[in-house]
Amino acid sequence: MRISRLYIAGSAIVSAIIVLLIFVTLIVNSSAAVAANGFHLFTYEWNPAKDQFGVLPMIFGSGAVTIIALCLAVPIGLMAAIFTSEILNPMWRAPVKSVLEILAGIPSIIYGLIGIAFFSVWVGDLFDLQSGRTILTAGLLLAIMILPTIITLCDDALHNVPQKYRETAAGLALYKYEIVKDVLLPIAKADINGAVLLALGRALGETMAVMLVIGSIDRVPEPFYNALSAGQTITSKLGREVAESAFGSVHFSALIFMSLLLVAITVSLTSLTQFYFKQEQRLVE
Amino acid sequence: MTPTPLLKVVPVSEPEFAEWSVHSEDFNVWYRDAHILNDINVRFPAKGITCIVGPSGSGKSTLIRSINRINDEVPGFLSRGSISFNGKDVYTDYKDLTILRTEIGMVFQKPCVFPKSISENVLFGVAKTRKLSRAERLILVEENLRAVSLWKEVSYRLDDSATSLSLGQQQRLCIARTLAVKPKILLLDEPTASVDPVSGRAIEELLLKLKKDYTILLVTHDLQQTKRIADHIVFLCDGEVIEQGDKAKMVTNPEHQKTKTYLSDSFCEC
Amino acid sequence: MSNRSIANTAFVFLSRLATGICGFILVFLIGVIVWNGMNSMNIQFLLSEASNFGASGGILYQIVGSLLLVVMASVLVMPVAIGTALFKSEYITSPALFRLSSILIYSLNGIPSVTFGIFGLIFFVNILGTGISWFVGSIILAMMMLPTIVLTTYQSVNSIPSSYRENAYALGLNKWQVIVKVLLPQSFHGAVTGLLIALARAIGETAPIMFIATAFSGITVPGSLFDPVVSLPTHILALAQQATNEAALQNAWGSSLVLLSLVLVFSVSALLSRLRLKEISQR
Ligand SMILES: Nc1ncnc2c1ncn2[C@@H]1O[C@H](COP(=O)(O)OP(=O)(O)OP(=O)(O)O)[C@@H](O)[C@H]1O
Ligand SMILES: [Mg+2]
Repeated sequence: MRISRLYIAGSAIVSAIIVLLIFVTLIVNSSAAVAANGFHLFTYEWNPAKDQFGVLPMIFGSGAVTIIALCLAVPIGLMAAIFTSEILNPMWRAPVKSVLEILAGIPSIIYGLIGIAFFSVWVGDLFDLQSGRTILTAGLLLAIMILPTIITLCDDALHNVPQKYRETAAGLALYKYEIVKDVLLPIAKADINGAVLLALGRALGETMAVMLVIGSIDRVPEPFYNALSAGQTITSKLGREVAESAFGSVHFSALIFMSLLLVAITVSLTSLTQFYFKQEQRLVE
Repeated sequence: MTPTPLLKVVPVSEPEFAEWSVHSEDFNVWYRDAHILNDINVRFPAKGITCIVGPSGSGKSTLIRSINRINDEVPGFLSRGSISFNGKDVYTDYKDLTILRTEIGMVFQKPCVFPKSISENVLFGVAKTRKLSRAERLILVEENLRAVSLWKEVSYRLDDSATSLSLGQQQRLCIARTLAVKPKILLLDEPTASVDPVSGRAIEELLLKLKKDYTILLVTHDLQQTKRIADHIVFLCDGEVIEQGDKAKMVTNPEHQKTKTYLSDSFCEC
Repeated sequence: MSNRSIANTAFVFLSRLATGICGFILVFLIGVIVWNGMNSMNIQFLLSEASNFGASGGILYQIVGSLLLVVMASVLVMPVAIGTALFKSEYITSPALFRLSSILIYSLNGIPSVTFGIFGLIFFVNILGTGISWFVGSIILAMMMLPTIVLTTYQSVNSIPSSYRENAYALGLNKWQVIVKVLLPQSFHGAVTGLLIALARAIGETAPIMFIATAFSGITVPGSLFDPVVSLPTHILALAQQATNEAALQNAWGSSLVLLSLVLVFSVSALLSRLRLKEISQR
């Protein structure tokens, strides 16, 4: 009896400690960079040789690829979800969902390989660039990676709207288009927002695929909206440089600082989404 | 109160469309393998109230849902035979279902208001058909809320959410919303089943008022209600029409024993 | 035709178009992986050692290494995950604590994979001095798998009607006996489903293990838990970075197909296991 309680309480404590340990480790190890650079961390120059550790280019890169990915994936994904949930014969819904799940399960390193072998070549040829490894390429690839998540979650969101709303609206002589736009989307809005937030978190945290195709240059492009130049995201920076920097150096610490920023953003996004979904589920039940 | 039946005798010969606004010929429905409606031949008189009665599961909802083709969306739905409305076949002559549904409006058993304001709910269907000016909107809202006797209760809070209304009020709002589209036929599937008796009576009064202008098909389990407001009764049992005719004949002098037992004891051995 | 019906037709067309685009992408992705992968696929490739920095030879030890990593991770994570799920469903009574536990689990779920790798590098490799090793890789993967398994197990324990528990208590069983005799057998399937879902994800992860568990070449089977391993995802990464080398790229495709097949084995089992779970809970 005592052993059992010890086991159960013990494993709960282990789980809690893991989370806290991760945060504490990141905070402790980023402190050196904050102490050495202060607000200079938020500048545009990253040059370890000159002790310059400005993280803004990476923050810009992460923001840029994420925005490109969402702008492409959200409209396409939502329209496809409308098709699978409202137009497709319900018989096909389950197989389609399984296929989407499989697609969502392709490891990101494989997406990266496809990105290198095809997307960056296409972007390079299409825009006549020296190298097709650009912010746009990374955004495109990310869009494809988050598409299955967006479709599945939006499809669930629409499908959870009770059938009576569709029948009532159809009985009032509305077209399918109007039913979707004026009845289903407003009711499913919270879940759809949750889906987009979740996809946003995934996109921000994605490392391998982005790292392989973004070109890895720590600069904000000139002009800043030039998505056809190489860039760097927080994750690609971490993936490339963590192993090269010496543990305990300011350089290492500055990298950990970026990682901490990233975790803070994605963790808040994920928690936010979970509470979104939780509430909605309760409403549906 | 005995409303004069429009028709004293069920005509056996070809009906005239002025009198028979909807009729079906050998209409059959399957849900996947289940044969739900079997060779239905019914005629609903224009203007007036036809009550469709029968035990639970006999296919009443299926029948009226087939008239404006809401059933089309149900997985596995299959129909054969015809339902005609003013001389047009509902299943073949309407490429665009919205046109059919502006002519045949429907109110469901459970009130289903959209999570929007009361006036938006009233205008929900009509606002799609044409651009409405502000004045027109106000007029339409008032006119239709008055038609369902809801105006006095809600006129001071038209912008409140419709979900804040009581169930009985919501159901009347649903009727107002359907009336606003100006259909020729009203299909009502047990509209009083989920509301309180007082609201139920209010809806009955409303239907009696509306029957001058509309063809009303009402599915109901409430035999007292049928006797109060029906002009014409269709008795459905196990997917077949056992008997149909005007109220006086059906209640006092039915041809079938089944009809008699059902209408007097609300019991059916089919 | 009215404007409305034109808008409707356009809308339906657009949604079909969007779905068509998604279908095209799907076919392209799967086609590319399978087609290119099949070109380098043969028994030799599967059963021989990598050589020449991966550009020639096979991927036997990469497959073994990947499996070693996730098997060890499963062994580490299962007891903790089941214990945590039981704690969450049977022991927590205060709503505040419940909320806190949810927040912790969702946070763990929201941490980007590369951060796990960095954490492992700092805490295990540098502070604890374990060195780059199989063991650290498995611990970090175990941490990543934890939230998924806790959540699915929790859901299946929680869906057991409380009448079961009450009956068991009425029969004189104590809490631990109730857990072992009633709750665990019922929730076991949930835990296995969670494990399979988590495995499908973990085996493809690159970022968490690339700093802390894997070496690129010259390694076969690790001699002990504290030796480095080789793995499929990091192998693909290394090959992808020499993309100008045809042979290396060829082998990267082959490795990708093998990796995807492993992922599919886990995710299809998870799918079947979940269907079965539904069946059980509906009984
Ligand atoms: N979507 C559906 N799929 C399969 N079978 C259905 C479906 N809807 C109804 N049924 C079946 O069709 C038969 C008739 O149903 P219907 O709803 O028309 O009965 P009803 O007369 O309206 O009953 P009630 O008075 O209880 O509303 C029933 O046996 C029912 O189980
Ligand atoms: Mg019914």
